[in-house]
Amino acid sequence: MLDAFFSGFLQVFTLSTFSLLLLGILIGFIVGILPGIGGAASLALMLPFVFDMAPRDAFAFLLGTLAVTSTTGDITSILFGVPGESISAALILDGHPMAKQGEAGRALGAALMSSLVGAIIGAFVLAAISPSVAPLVLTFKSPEFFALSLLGITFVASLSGESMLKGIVAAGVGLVLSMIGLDPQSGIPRYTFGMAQLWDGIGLVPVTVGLFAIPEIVDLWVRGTSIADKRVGKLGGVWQGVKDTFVHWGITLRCSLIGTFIGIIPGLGAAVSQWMAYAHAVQSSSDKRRFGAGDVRGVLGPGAANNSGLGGSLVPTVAFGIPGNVVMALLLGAFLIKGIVPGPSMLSKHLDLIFAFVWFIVISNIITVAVCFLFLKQLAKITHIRGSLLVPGLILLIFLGAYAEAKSTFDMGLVLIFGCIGLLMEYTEWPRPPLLLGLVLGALIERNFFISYEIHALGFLLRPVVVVILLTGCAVLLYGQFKGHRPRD
Amino acid sequence: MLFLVWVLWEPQNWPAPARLFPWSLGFSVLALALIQFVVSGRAVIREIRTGSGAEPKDELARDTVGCRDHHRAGDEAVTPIVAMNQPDSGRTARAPEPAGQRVITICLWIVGFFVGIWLVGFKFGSFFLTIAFMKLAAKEKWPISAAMALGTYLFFWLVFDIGLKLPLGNGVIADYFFLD
Repeated sequence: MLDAFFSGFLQVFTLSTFSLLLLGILIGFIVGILPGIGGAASLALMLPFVFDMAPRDAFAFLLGTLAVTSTTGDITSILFGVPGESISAALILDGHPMAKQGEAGRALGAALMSSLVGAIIGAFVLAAISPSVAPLVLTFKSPEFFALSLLGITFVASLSGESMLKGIVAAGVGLVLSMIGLDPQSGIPRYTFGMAQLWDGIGLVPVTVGLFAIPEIVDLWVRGTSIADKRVGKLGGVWQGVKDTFVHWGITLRCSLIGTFIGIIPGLGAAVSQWMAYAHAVQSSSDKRRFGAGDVRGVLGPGAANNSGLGGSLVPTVAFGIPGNVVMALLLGAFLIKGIVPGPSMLSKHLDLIFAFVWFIVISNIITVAVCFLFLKQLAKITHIRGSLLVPGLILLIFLGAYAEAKSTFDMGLVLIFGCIGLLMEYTEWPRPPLLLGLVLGALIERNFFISYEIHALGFLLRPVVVVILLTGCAVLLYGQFKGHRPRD
Repeated sequence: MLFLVWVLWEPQNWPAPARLFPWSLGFSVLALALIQFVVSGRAVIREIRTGSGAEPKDELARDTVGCRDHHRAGDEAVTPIVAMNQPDSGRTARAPEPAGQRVITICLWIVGFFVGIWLVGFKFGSFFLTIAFMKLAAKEKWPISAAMALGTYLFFWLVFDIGLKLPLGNGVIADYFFLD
């Protein structure tokens, strides 16, 4: 095993492999920054090019692309309040306020360094537990997925500050919105207004950019200033953000593990882990006042969780051939194109390739972070350009992001609708993250509820793991009501 | 709450399996929403009785904002905004507009961008919409407006059309006249 570990490392630095890794990083960097074009779209675009590549080269190219998209997606979330990826939305809550206060450099430094730490932890978890993860993955069936999804909702309720009830209602509305589309049981259209465009439900990208990006653009125009209306000096600098990652090492480590664990469990994905990590960062802090107003811990948590999920989600894909999300499903296609059958046999025949994956993820993140640090200060200066010059480009990028997913102007219309909803929620001080997470988790909750009910009737609620998870959720809700606990980092 | 009532009313003619989840979820959320409505209503009534007005926490609720050269009175932390043009380049300063009017203005522009892209597509829309916004809303001078519009068009064309081969759509007008 040690031989395979070092062999995997050496494989990264052959000329063809390293060149393709760098090319993948470049493509992933550009794609990650552009709103709406995420890891799945970039992987789908790059997949046809791997037919003629050797297996190692092909995965260097694809994993290089994937590994950096979530890192660079954080940049636009922080600078403009426009999520570069749907998995970078949580960074808007504290990253963008930091940019407005002239601390864009600090936020970017914290996001990048925590992403790097998260990626390294996720990659080494992949290396360490792939051979022995079977009991964990096989324990989770439909009842456990149902309970985990409910747990995600309760975590998100804690994001609502002092009004947990508003958070739960918002999450409930998100769950209701997730029911739009064809009923999975009977196939009849639900809440579609007779429109075929809604048969597949509401897309995540239009909702994300509408809820979060439109209000930020309106705010930028109304203020009539640049994004940052203060200059903070060295305290707002990049290296302060890097130091913050290690000062708050507890949050960084725990959120990396949250992201990795969520990634290992098929079906949940980084869209969930970012919010759970953010909720954990809020809950584990004794002083919550600055969360949502520019607390660096609100950047560290989701930053670490986003990137650690890639290593985690590779575990079931490689070890069992079970893709946990759309991106892994596409990567599974790459496995089949190259004639590699993922599963238990891969652990014996291609162990060095698995370790090469680990090093691809680690090294591509190191390179990306190093390159980003070279011009982060220049990026941070964008926040001092007056808003009127940025607004038209941002509006166009938002609509393009919504359009790019399904090539449909209907999704652009959804951006307008959810932009109005986001403005209304912001003005009336209703939390937006729970609505988004309810939309993400709704389909999972409904599908797993029906499968569990069909097999176990209501007895599925008494399964041991389900009981533990539901009790944890109750504890989270009750814990959130009481104040004055000890700081944990 | 009206939305939730509609959500509950709509499935009454659906098959039982199809309406189980919407009803179980909808009634729960409606109950919680009613509780929140009562809680919020009591808070508002309490504020009215005590005569204390809530400070608007949201930046959208500020009284007045000005043009790009505006500084809030007494706010020493606000530093001069970096401008691509010199501040004294002869551009006429605009009178401060109320925040509400600026909200309406930008919302109308966002809708206008949507309509423009729908009509002419992203490539041409990026040029014409940018230049229209820069001149009519931002009141910028022609050189910078033209430069931003051209830069935006080139960005979309080079990155998305040429680089990523992403079909950007031609817009309704081009489709109607079979233009490419």
